[in-house]
Formats: sequence, structure tokens, C-alpha cells
Amino acid sequence: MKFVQSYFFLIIVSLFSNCALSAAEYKIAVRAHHGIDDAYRQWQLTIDALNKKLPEYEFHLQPIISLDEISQRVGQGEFDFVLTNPSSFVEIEELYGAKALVALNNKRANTAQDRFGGVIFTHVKNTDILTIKDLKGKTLMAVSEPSFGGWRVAWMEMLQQGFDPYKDLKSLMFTSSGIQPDVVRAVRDRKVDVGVVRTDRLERMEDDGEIDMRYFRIINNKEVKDFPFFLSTELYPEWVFASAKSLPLEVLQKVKKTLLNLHPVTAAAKAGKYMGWVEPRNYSSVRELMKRLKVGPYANQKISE
Amino acid sequence: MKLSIAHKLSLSSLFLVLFSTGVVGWVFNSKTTNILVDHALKDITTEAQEAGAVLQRIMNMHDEDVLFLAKAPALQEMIRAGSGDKQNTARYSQWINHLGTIFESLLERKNEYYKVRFIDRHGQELVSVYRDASRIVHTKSKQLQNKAHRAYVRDTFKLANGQIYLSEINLNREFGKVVTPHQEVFRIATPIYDERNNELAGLVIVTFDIGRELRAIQNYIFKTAEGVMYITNDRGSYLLHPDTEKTYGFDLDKRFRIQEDIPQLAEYFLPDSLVNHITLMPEKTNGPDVVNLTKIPFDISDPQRFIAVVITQNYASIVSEESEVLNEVALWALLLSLGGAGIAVLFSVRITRPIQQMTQAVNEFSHKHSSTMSLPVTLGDEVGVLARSFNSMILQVEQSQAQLHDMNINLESRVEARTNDLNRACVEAERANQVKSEFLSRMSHELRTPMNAILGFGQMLELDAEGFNETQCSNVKEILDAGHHLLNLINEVLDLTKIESGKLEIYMDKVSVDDVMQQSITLIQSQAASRHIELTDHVSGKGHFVKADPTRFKQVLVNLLSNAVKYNREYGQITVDSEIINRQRLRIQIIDTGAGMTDKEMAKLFTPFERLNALNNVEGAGIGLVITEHLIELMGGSIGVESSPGKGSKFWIELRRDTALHPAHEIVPDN
Repeated sequence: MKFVQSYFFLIIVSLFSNCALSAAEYKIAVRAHHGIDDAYRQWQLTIDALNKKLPEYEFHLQPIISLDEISQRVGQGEFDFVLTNPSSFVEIEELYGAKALVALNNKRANTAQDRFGGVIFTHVKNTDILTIKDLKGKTLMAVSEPSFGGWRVAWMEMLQQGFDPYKDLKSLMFTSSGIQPDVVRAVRDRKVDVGVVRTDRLERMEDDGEIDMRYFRIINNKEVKDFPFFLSTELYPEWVFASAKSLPLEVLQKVKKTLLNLHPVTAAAKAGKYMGWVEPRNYSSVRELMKRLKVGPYANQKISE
Repeated sequence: MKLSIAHKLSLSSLFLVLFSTGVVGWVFNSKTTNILVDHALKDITTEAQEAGAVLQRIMNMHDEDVLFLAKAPALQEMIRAGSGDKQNTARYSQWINHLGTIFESLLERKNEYYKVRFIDRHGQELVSVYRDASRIVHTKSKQLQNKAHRAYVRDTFKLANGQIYLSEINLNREFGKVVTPHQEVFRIATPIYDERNNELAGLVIVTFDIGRELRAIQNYIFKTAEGVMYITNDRGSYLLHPDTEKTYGFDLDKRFRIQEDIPQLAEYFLPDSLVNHITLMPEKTNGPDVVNLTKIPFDISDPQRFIAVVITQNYASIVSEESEVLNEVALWALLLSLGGAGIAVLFSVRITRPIQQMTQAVNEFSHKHSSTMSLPVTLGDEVGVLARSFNSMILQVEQSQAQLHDMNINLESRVEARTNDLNRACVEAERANQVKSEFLSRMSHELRTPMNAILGFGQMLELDAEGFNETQCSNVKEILDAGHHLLNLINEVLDLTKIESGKLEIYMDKVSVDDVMQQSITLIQSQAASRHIELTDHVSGKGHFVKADPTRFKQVLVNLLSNAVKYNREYGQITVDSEIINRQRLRIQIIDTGAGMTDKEMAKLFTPFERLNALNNVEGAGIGLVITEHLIELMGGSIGVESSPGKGSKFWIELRRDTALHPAHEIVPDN
């Protein structure tokens, strides 16, 4: 009896889904900072959860490595939703009116973290590099120029300490792969003096047994209460799940409610390595950073400070 | 600023004492400070190493406990009972209880143990006895956990029989969660193999309170050292930190490491670092602290495993602490050097006092010519010799002074006597002169009166000469001539006395030189004629006027002309001439053709009673030229002579001219 019931239910659902497929299909772009496959592994279950909870709509995952590409294709109206880092979000918010629906409440070292930052680190044998000022004349590697946690937050921190990485470094390099572990490896192998990654990147690699933290030392180490990771910069709000174009309010509310209700124990949360979703944060600090760095939508603007 | 020798000596000895003390003190202080600081730093390393040795000993003791338990027969019995048939269940649980009792007795003996367990080869706890406050509790079988995922279980199972596993130091967990309050634990385990087939059967593990040992190390080291102490594991994570929030971060999802806090130490935590202790001085740490790192290896089988004791100390405070002793030394040195300086000053004063006394004595002596100062004559040194010499010198000087004084007094009285004599002689001479003048004057007057009578009566006889024969007439004439001559002499003497006594009066007037010259020539004419002397007058007729007393002017001219006649040769010549010297003066010259004079003779010309050629039968008393000179001078003129023997003489007088156009009255000199 039970079996019949559920079978019947499945048929109903699939019928309904088919209807919805023709009625409403939504593309969700996600920033694939560890590669396309990794992005699918991490986020597909969350999309599945949406599809399951909201069978009237059909959601498709579209991982994109390049932040610039995300911005560009949002501009072309290709995506309905975007899951990306805060500076990317501020950019599409500024340029194309994107709206934050929910913010990621990340799971890091078994704690919920809705903030993140950057880590500036060096090999311990570089005994002459103790502070940001000591970076003068050194080589530095980060993942990519538009990367928020992987570069811009560190860039901002350096600027605030009177160090302009674009002028004062011997060389500033970005990975060709676009993935952060390459930065860590370059520092480990002493191919560059200093590296920048987002918070918790080093710890994850250590947990995976890929690196031994004894070889690394954090520069400008900051201790923030209840933040369990090495940190060299200010903390900024975590990734944003945003609507990339004007959508019916009903859809927005449903998606938001669904995501907010995802518990840490669900498969989606486990695969996504997060604790859940929370209300959007205040992104003014991200905006200020971008203005100061004159990046994204503020690239060619004169900023009065 | 003048300083006495005592001051100079005192100051220089003071300076020397203080300077040398200062230099020695500075050198001593700087060198000794370094040595002491080095020593203090080495002490810390030594203390840390000693503490480490203690820790190692304690751990070895625990090793023995674990190995003892591993060899407990009950263990093998239990394994045997546990494997295989079900009928052994009763025996099995009996052996488990027995093992629990053995564990319990160990816990009773060793306070530092938290827990003793047997875990089977699947990671399942079979026997677990633990300490709960002061009670010892056997864990109920329902509470037994599977620990297969824990590192200490996995790692111990890799070991051979009899090998010891030493765990990381971390916080105790129950059911995957860190127990609060935190229990800092260290586990020692050894694998248990089934004796029958040498297959892995499980492990025995002892968990004990490492926090106690760490604090013991801290106390041991801090008996002597000050500063901040950290203990980390070999990954740099804190096991002990003044801020307890930072400890066991790796168990509590925090990332506090010494690598970030003291970056200069980071390289010594590299897996291949062979440095076991290092001291970083402030210049290396870029801060005020000196940092001391000592690694305490605790696993004999793996020297890379260690706990690190890090002590940071304020370098300045070490220096100041170590230099406290030095300061005391310095204080003593200062006191001693002050004492030395005092003695130096005292000696300076003592040495220089005799010199000062000498100086004072000399000073006093040179000012007052006597000294009451007592001299240091008893001294045996150079100053004594000097004092004695000085004393005898003073004595000699005083003696000769007294002699000099006496002689002086003598001399003065003699000079006074002489002066008195001289004064007396002078007065007498003056009086004699006066008497002479008075005598001359009175005599002249007295002589003139009878002379006038003689002349008067002579002239009366001349008037009555008709009755006289030639001889009588001649006699009368002789009487008159002699009388006139005598009267002239008397007049001259009178004039001289008048001049000498200042009683001669001169009446100056404008006088015609022509007139006076003619009168004088007239007076002398007969006298010249008697000797056939020709007289040439170039003066008269020139119309000169001079300021003079007319009578005395004539007397002067007559005297000079008379001399020219007297001292001329017969048939000689006399020339009278005049010359205007300048607007003021007129010179009149009387030139004769006499014998002339030597310079010596000329020098005597104007001396009273000196006569030239006294033997030449020339008349005169020798006072004519003297009177003439006086008269000329009284009239404001001058007289002079030029002569050479055989060429005659030239006498000249100069008088002031009177060039006034209208003379007040014409003066006619009397005869």
C-alpha cells in the first residue's frame, strides 16, 4: 500500500516536473574555483535539492571558472541565478542589478563560517620576510587577479599598510591554472617567495596530507575571535547566491526559503561543505574594497577618498 | 683662578682616583655584564635541558608500566578465552574483570594516570579503568567506545611486540568530543600479540596527565628565570601559553602557532632541523626580547619528536638583573674610590702643608722681613732640607740686615754732621763775602772822602802853581794823576760791589749811539795820541739808537776803548764799527792791533781781578771788563771777544735797538 502510494506520488511528481520543465527553467552559474568537476561535485546536490523541493521549476548548474566570464555572461542575460564570491556579486549587482538572495554559511573545520579573508604566507626559510613591508623586492603569487579571497583582500591589506604590490614587489604572478593549490605548491617548492590564498585553503591541504604546515609561516597573522583559520586580512562576507536578472517574486521567495531550510546534515550541505544558508550580509565593505582597488565596475573611475 | 699647590694636588689626585675607578668600572661592567648575561642565558638552556631529562625519565617509567602490563599473564589468558568457543565466555569475562583489577591497582599507585585501557585489534575498548576526581571507576561495558579511527590506535597497531608508542600531547576526547574541563593527556601504548600465533590481539594504553609534567617543567625553569614561557609540540602549536585560549588550538579548531608569534623560530620547527637549542638575541628578534628555544626530545625511537620550551625574556631586564650584582660591586667600588680620593686629598694636604708653611713664611718674610711661622725643619725629606736651609738663610739675612741697619744709622749721622759743617761753612763764607762787600763799600766811601780832599787840595795847589818851580809843578801833577787814578779804582770797586750786592740802578732810555761814541772817543783821544795810536770811527754819523742807560753805555764804551789803547802797540790802530744784526739788535765792534790773546787767556777775561799781561806795565785793577759785562747784561745786551795771538782783538757788544720814530726826548749824556 505504501509502495503504491509512493509510486503514485512519483508519477504525479514526474508529470508535474515535465509541465514545469516546459514552463520554467533556470540556469544557475557557479564560480568553479577548484575546477569544473569539483564544482559539479560540490554544488550539484544543492541544485538537486532545489529541483526536488521545487518540482514546478527546473534548475541547471553551470560551473564557470573565470569570474570575468561570469560577469560577461550575466551581462548577456544568460543566467538566472549566480553563486559567486562577494566581489563578483558586487560587480554584477553594480552593473546588471543582481540581487542577493542568500549568503553561504560555510562549513570550515566543523564550524559555521559566513566570513572569509585571505592568507599571505611564505616558506619558513625566508627568514627575512616578517611583515608586509618586507615583501619589497620579493616575488608573490596569487591565483588570479579577480579572485576575491585569493588576491583582492590581500591586495587591499597591503595597500592599507602602505605597500603597493603592483609597484613594490619584484614580481607579481598569477597561476595559469587558476586554482589555489598551485600557489601553495609554488611557495612550498620555493619557486616564489610569498603566496596568497583564501582562508582555510592551507588547512584543507594540510588535512588532506598534501602539505606540512611547518614549512609555512603566515605573514601579518591576525587573530580574530571565533575564526579558526590562519588569516592575514580583514574578514569579508562569504559567497552570495544572487538572482542575476529580474525574476518573479514567487520564484525568488521559494528559492530563498528552500535554501534557508537546507540543514547541515543534508546531502546537499555535506557535498557543498557548508552548514547552510543565511540572510544576505552587508556587502559595503566589499564595495569599498573594490572602489579602493579600482577594480570591476570601478576600474576606470576616479575615487575621491 | 689661582690655585694653591695643595688644591692642585688634591684635585689631580681626586681626578686620577675617580677617573681610573670610572674606567676600570666601565670596562669591568661592560665585560662582566656580557659574561653574566651569556651565563644567565645558558642557564636557561641548561634548566630546560635538565627539565627535559626529568620528563624523559618520567616517560620511561611509564614505558615500564605499560610493558609490565603488556606482560601480565591475565592479558594472554583473556585473549585466549576471548577467541573461539562460546563456552569460554564466563572465563573471558572473568579475565576481563581480573585485568580491570590490575589496571585499578596501577591507577591507585600512580596518581598521574587518568586511564588504563585494553583495546582489541578492532579498536574496541574491552577494559577501561579511569580516574574520576578521586574515585577509580571501571567503565561500564555500554560506555566502551570504538577508537579505531584514532591515530594512537592505528599507529600502535603498526608496531612490533615490545615496542612503545608515544602519542601526541593533546586534549582528552570522549565520544569524539573534547572533555571539559580539558585534560591534557599523553598516551603510552604497546601492541599485544597473541602468544599462540603471534597475531595482533590489541593494545594496552596508559593515558596520563601531561599537563602536570609540563607545569612541573615550567616551575623548574622559572625557579631562576623570568619572562614568558611557552611549550609547544613539534609542530609549533602551543601546549602551554600564558593565554590559555591559545593552547591546544589544534584540538580546538584554532590556529595558534609559535611560527607566527615568533617568526624567527619557525625554521627550527622544520622536520629536518637539527638545532636543539638556540638563543636569539634582540638584534635577531627585532624586538626587546631575547628568545631561547630548547627542544626536549621524548621519543627515543624518533628524535624528530619533541616538545619545545620557548622562553622570551626582556633583554634589558636580564641585563638589569645581572647587573644588580654589578651595581653592588660598583657601589662598593664607588665607596672605596671615594675613600681613596679622601685619603688622596688628605695625603695631598699633608704633603703640601710644609710647602704651604714655607710659602707663607717666605711670603711673610718678603713683606715684613720677619717670620713667625714655624717651619717643618724636623722633616727628613727634601722639604725638611729646604726648611732648614731656608731657616739658616733667614738667619743670615737677618744678621746682615741688622748690620746694614747699623751701618745705615752710622752713615746717616755722618752725613748729617758733614752737612751741618758744610752749612756752617757756607753761612760763614756768605757772611765773609758780605763782610768783604761791606768792607769794600765802606772802605771805598771812607777812601773817597780823603781822596776828594787830596784831589781838591791838589787842584788848589795847581791853581797856585805860579810860585812853584818846575819840579814842584811836576810833583803836584803826579799827586793829581795818582789821586785820579786812585779815585777811578775806588769807583770801579764801588761799582763792582754795587753790582754784586744788586744795588746798582740802571735807567734805560733811548740813546743816540753817535753822540755817546763821539763823547767816548773825545775822552780817550788824548790817551791814544800819547801812544801814537790812530783811531778810526765808522760808527758816528750812522744815526743808530739803542735802549740803554746813557751813562753806563758811555762807561762801557770808554772802558773798551781805553783797553784798546792800553793793550795796543805804539803806532797801532783802533777801528770802531757798527753792524745791525737784526731788527732788534745792534752790534758795536772795537778792533785793535794789539798782541792778541790765546783761548786760555780769553777765558779769564771776565773774571774779577784777573789782568792780562800784568807784567807789561799796563795800569788797572782787573775789574773793568767784569763791570762792563755786568752793565751790558743789566742793559739787556751781550758782550763778546774774538782774538788770536799776534793778530789783535775784536771786542763787540750788542744792544737792543730803539727804532721808535719819535723819541720822547733827546738825551744828552753828561760828561
